[in-house]
Amino acid sequence: MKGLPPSLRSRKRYIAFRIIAEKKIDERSLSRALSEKMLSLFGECFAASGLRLEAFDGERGIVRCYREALDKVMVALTLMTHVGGVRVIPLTLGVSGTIKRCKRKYLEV
Amino acid sequence: MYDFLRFFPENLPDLGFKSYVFMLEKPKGCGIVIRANSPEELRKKLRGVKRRAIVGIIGKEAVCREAVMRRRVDVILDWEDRELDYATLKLAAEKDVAIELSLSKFLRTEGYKRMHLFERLRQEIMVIRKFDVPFIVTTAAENQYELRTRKQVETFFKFFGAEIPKARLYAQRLVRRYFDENYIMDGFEVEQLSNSGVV
Repeated sequence: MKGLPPSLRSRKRYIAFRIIAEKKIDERSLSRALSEKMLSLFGECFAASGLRLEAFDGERGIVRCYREALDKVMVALTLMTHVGGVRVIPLTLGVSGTIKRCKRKYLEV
Repeated sequence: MYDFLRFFPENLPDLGFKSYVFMLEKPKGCGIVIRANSPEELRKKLRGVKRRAIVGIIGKEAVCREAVMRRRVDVILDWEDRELDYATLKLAAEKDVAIELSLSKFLRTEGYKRMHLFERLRQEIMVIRKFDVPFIVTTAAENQYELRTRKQVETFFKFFGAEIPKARLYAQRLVRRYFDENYIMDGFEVEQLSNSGVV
């Protein structure tokens, strides 16, 4: 819903992750694979989690979700084995409350 | 936190585990996997284990029930078709045999099969909590694609209600029992050794 006051907006969490894949995978297929995994695991009723792929460079990325759905997204990310037909190993690096902190803490070398 | 793997990886990325236990059927890992189709076969194979290593069992319901009553068995390993009944879990708590809860079986299955596995996991965790059964959470990876970070494994089983601090404790206890010379029993260990004996 648009125009909600900040106190009523749902809180978000940013998950930094790393994908080890056989071939190069693109942002779109990863986002789709994650959404489909959420849907297949939790169903239409409980899959809503504010999921959004914020950044992905082919290996590392950040995914955004609601704080309440953090565990669900982590489970979906853990159970992901294929992205667009490519076998992958998704590894989560950490969780943060802001995208800035997430980048600084987990993605900057 | 220790992870129990079923293969020797060539190069392992940092996954946040303290160390790894390699449970292999060939006698070269720090753990031995025994597969049995019947209790008789299990007893026969257990008699043949001479090496000091963690012994894990893979088998059907009857084999698992027999295994929890054997002193040489340390852990009932997890696989897709493992079935543990209420009595077996209760016995496991009494006999101090750990139950492995693995992540890899959920990665290898899809759809209905995985749905039943989730249901079974939920029930197992319920009984584990009731009787305070020793249990360990692992990836039980058979290849590199089944490897996950410690945080992922813990979050997954926490989602289904497992008490992760306890799982860590049981895994540590199991490993220390075999590979830490200073460990005697829970809360009882050698602090320092002098030339004349224990200080």
